Amino acid sequence: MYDLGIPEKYVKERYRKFLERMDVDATDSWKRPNFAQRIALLAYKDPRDPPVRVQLRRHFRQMEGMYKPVPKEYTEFILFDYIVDQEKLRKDAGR
Amino acid sequence: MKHFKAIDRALFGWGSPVTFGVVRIVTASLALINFLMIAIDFDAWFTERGFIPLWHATKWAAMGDNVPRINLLGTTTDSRVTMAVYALCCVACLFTAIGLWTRLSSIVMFVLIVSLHHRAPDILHSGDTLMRQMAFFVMIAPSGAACSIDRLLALWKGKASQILPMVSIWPQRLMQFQVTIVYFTTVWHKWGGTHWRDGTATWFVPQLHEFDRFPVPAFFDQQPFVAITTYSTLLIELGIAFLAYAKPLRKWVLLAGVALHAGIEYRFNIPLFSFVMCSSYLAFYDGEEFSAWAKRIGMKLKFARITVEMPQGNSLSSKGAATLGALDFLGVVNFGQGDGDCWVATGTRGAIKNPYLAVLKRCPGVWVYFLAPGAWRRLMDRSLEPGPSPIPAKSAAEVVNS
Repeated sequence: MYDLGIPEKYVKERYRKFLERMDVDATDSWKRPNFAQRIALLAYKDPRDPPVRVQLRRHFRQMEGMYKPVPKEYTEFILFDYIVDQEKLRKDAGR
Repeated sequence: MKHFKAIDRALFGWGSPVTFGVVRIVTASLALINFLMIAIDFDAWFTERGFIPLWHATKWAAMGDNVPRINLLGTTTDSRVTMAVYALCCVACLFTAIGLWTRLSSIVMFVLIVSLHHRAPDILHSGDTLMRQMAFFVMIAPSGAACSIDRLLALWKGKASQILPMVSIWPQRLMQFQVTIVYFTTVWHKWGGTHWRDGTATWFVPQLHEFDRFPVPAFFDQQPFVAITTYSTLLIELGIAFLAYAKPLRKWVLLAGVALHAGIEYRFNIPLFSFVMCSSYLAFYDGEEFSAWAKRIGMKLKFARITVEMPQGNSLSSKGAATLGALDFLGVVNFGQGDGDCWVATGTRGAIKNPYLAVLKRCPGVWVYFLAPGAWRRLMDRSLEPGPSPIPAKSAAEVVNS
């Protein structure tokens, strides 16, 4: 979202909303396999070299409040590690 | 007893349907724009290979309070069916906006908006929720009674009176109550949080840079400005919730609301949210007020006035006068007897203009005919009947309102 131009960002805001609902807490964890599978599909360009594993990483900064220092660096951790379902991948890609 | 009667009149009285027409146009247009924007990513949100397959939506629905939900797409995994329903929803929004087969169109629009929202619940924001609710009110209200193709067709066929019908304004009150609920509950929830109370809440949102849109000066994110925006947000929202019903205060609290949402729209990237919120304010104005505004605006547009002379030996038929009068709601077109073989339009400075185009450009109610200019030409020609005009040199709108 940071890199998109203003008109494109306006149309693509739904992705940000979706992501907000994806990693809030553990109650959303059931959504992650399908999310990762879609990411694999988007990365699937060469049938001879399909994506086999997707890692969802969470980047975040904890802001305590207006009068407290805001960390400059993002904390990062692996939110979800997924082994791609190759059969579904081929089916979704129409191959 | 007197007070009960006043309350009864305020809630269940009768009035002009123009507000319903205006709210219908704005709500359905915003819904259409919204769905056209989302359509770009249809594959991502509405197909089995996308981010939200059907089982995802089904599980989401079951995780809530498990109440029955309207979802015509609740059993299909065929993306062609989903796409057809999506396209039908866009058509229903368009037809509702222009007021064609309004009752049916608005029912289809509401049912399909709800279905599509339940099909992809994880991409919705609160503006979508309000849009869905406004679509419900448009559906139950007499939304096609004014500012609609339906009314024009009824006038043309002689099935409607030239004077707008009086309708129950109960659906309009429901819209107003909805706005009150939206703003009161938001203040209620905000007041339960620490940062809205300590005057720093509006500092947090600009820290989420994915929302960034246009820049603002640095002092916007420093005290005392943050406290001012935090507390004024609460005050404005509370004001809209309760003071918009009081006519002397209505304009000011709603203008404050528009300013608040204009600020949000300028600074933050939340598609259509501010437009949807501000469009709901229209429900606080009576239909008679909208009509009076149109008249006042028409009076001010002196440069736009034209006189259109009919071909010699012709006058406007009663259905023609009624239809053209409904279209020319600004009242800037005067029709009069002519002595030529065809229509002649003359501007205020005496310039001769193309009569069809001149009327088309001046009457917002006719703009839909830009889609079919030939149909507009036929409508004007068929508005004539042989014989002298009963009311020469008067606008068709005056004919209607006389």
